[in-house]
Amino acid sequence: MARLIGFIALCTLFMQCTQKSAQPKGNDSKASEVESSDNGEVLAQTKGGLVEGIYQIDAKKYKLPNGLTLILSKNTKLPVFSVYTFYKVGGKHEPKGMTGASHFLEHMMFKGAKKFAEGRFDKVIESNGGSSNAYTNYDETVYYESLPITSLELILDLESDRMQNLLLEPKAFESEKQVVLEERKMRYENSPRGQLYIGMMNKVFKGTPYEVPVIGTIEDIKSVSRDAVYKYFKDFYAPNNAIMLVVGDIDYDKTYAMIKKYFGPIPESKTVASLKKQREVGFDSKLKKNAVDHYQGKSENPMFSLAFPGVKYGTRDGYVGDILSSVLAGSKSSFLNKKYVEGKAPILNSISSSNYTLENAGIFFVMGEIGKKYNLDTLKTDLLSDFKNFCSNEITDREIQKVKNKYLIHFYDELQTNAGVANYLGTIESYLGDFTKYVDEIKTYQTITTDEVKKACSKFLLSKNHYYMSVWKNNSKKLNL
Amino acid sequence: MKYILLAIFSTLLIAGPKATQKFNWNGVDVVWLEEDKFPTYSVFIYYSDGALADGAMAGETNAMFKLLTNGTSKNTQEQLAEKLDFLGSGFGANITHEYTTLSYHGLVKDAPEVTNLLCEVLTDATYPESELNTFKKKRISGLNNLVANHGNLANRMFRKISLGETPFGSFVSGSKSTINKFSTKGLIEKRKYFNDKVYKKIFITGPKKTLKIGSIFKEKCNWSGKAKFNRASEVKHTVAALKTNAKPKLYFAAVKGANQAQIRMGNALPIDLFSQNKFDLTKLMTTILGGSFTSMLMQELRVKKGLTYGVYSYAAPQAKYARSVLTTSTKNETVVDALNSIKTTLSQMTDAKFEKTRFDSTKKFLKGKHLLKFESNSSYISNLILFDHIQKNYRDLYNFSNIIDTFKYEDVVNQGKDIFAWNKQMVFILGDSSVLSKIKAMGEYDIKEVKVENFL
Repeated sequence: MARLIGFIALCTLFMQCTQKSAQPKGNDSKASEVESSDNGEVLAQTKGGLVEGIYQIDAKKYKLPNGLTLILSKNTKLPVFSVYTFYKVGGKHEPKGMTGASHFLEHMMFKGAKKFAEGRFDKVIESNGGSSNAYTNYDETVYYESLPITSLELILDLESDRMQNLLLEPKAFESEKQVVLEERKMRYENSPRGQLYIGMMNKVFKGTPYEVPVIGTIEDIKSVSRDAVYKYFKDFYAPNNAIMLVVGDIDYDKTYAMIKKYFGPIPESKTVASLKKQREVGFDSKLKKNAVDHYQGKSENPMFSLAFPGVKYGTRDGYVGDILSSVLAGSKSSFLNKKYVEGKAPILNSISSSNYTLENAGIFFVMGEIGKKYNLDTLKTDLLSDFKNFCSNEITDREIQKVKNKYLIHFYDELQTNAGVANYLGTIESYLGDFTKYVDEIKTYQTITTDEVKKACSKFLLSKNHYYMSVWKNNSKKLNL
Repeated sequence: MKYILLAIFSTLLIAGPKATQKFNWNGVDVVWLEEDKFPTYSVFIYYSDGALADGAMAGETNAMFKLLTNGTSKNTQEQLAEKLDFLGSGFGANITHEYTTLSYHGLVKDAPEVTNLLCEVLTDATYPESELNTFKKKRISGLNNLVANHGNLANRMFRKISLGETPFGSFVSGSKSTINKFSTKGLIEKRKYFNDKVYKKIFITGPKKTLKIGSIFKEKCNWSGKAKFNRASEVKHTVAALKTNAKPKLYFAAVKGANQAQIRMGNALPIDLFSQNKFDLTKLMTTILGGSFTSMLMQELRVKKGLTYGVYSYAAPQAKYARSVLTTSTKNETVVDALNSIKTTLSQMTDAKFEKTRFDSTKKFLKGKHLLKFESNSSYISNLILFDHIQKNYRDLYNFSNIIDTFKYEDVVNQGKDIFAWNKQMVFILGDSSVLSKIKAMGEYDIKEVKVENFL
């Protein structure tokens, strides 16, 4: 089972992410007027269908007295549902010596709790016709299940059991360390792209909570104790640090009542707020000038990344950065692809770009693979020189519209499945504190101008603070992360 | 009937996936899945030929489709890419040995424009020499770099080893030696062959307005019912039933410094192992064995012993052949333990020593999972395309739950014996040379060493 680490990271590496950066909170959200319900007060909602030309999702938000945020969305297409549970804990919250704890805990959450003990979690889900998985990134850990609707109450029972009564059985705890170490090899140690990614994040975020890979260091994975992980669990896994979404063929009131029944009695964490206050500090990149590293790796062809400090989510610049990234290298006809990958004598086999907006900081990078003999340092000079031309001359109204068209199609694609809707709304709620902001997000994308993208281009890509890194079999420097 | 009644569990009858509508455009078969929730559409074009059309020029069909948009007499690669990207078309092709699928999608209002562009490239792609040369260099460079990706390298090598002497062992995307031989003339001929001769079927999802594209296929693509060639019906080769060996054959490829050993197991399979309901019986068997987190292999290798991050097994057919694959990786130090654990687990399957509860719960798992396939239109259509290709009635797709209920425990065991009996397996390991001595010391395998460079 792919207990995915760094889902968002993979997303930014292999496709364009368009849904996570956002504009600041404000009171101009166009969410529909809220309504009261006997089964809990509806704090926010959007009603399904086209509103002012934007497709809105039928969804409602509630909050239990213990702080659990709940979003429900009805979709009667098929008699199935998806549950997503976002815990606001990720790599950035880990204390010294416990790197990888969030991800390791994600693995252990499938190993048994008080009521659904060892091995029962997956057995119960699968024998009821469902599947489950999870992912961890720097900011959050997310669990999800999809099943026929007849099993909804059972899944809520399971999720509430492991939110409060995780066992962390010692034998399974030690055995799972070996599994995570094998996963680490597969995703990072044996993957040139994975090496580039963790090396780049480490350098750009050196000295900040985003410095260490989410999967953890080998030493910390091996040495972390059950007691330490249990305390970490008790601190961060609580209703007042969680967002739950149920999307599918549901009845709003009955589903709210079920969630209240299973999650209502769970006490809130008294420590989570102060711990987050302590650990969610000092995120600004300390990269103050250009830096270069060439690391030894298994790749026959040199692979490289060129990274710049970016912006955190929740700013208009974040959205503009998304569009900039897509114009730069988001398609076959994008600037860098035309210049370096397509054409008569291309230098590169591939290139991509990403505007990775995390909760507290961001990074903008391009990543690629050289396909012929070409000096790595010359390539860096070429890229930086081309960025100047790109920012001045290549960002046109048509290029911006092209990206907007692509985002709109991507938005509709996301909404085809319950899991897609749950992950989309959950991400918006998790990062912006209000799921209805997706409407503002779409409007923001629609209103971004060519001039704004040009300005952002200068700000992101012409900065003197950048980090150039390569991984190649002929390099000699070792990367130890 | 807009909705099909579908039994998920024996006690429950509920509304299931939307039904499709079938018609033809100028003799070309069309399947339409009406979906008007969003102003978007998807088109999938099925061609009843694939990489088997290439003969000694392995990879030519793949190159022909991948380079379709690299120039016509009207538009350059750059112009075509710009237009298709602007329309968000997601234009792409998937080539298998027996069939090919070309797909695109976007906003309904843009469907005619994208379809016109599709017809332009299908009837007029010129494969400029400069574009072809660039393509060749990139493909060969990519193959050279494959040695850095041990998982993908092992998959490629195992396919060739296990299907080697059959027509299905060729590489769909070609090898270094064949890619160098591709020519503009050859690709144009191949394009014409696929456009003029090969049977096609169009699958569409979207609102009714999408169907306006119908006339474009006739007028611009020149498609009619005259194109009837079906590769599968021409294939004479049949894969023989698996033989039981005294020792399993094990192929070993050394990769210096590898810190993980890649393990693959399986075979080319005769198609009759999948006839009628055995298609779903095999799915049940492979899922019990290694198709979910609670499967026998996952529990033994990952949960109980911590030997691997992942292990899975599957067996699936095309029209004229099938193959089985078991995939995992482990530390160099634990290769012997992993192989022994796999052997023990396969024996539990073939000796009928797995729990009856596992048999029952996997049936339920598959029924629920099957229903989720209908959530996404592209997933739904992909299933229909496969069913068409292997000439399976759509009814079986909708009737999956009832079919699964007909299988007995013994049926699964017998299917396991036919496909995953230990002494019928062909084993492949890619890893550091130090692993080889450990395997030799086991004395359980008929070992042959192979070189990575012979598979690129």
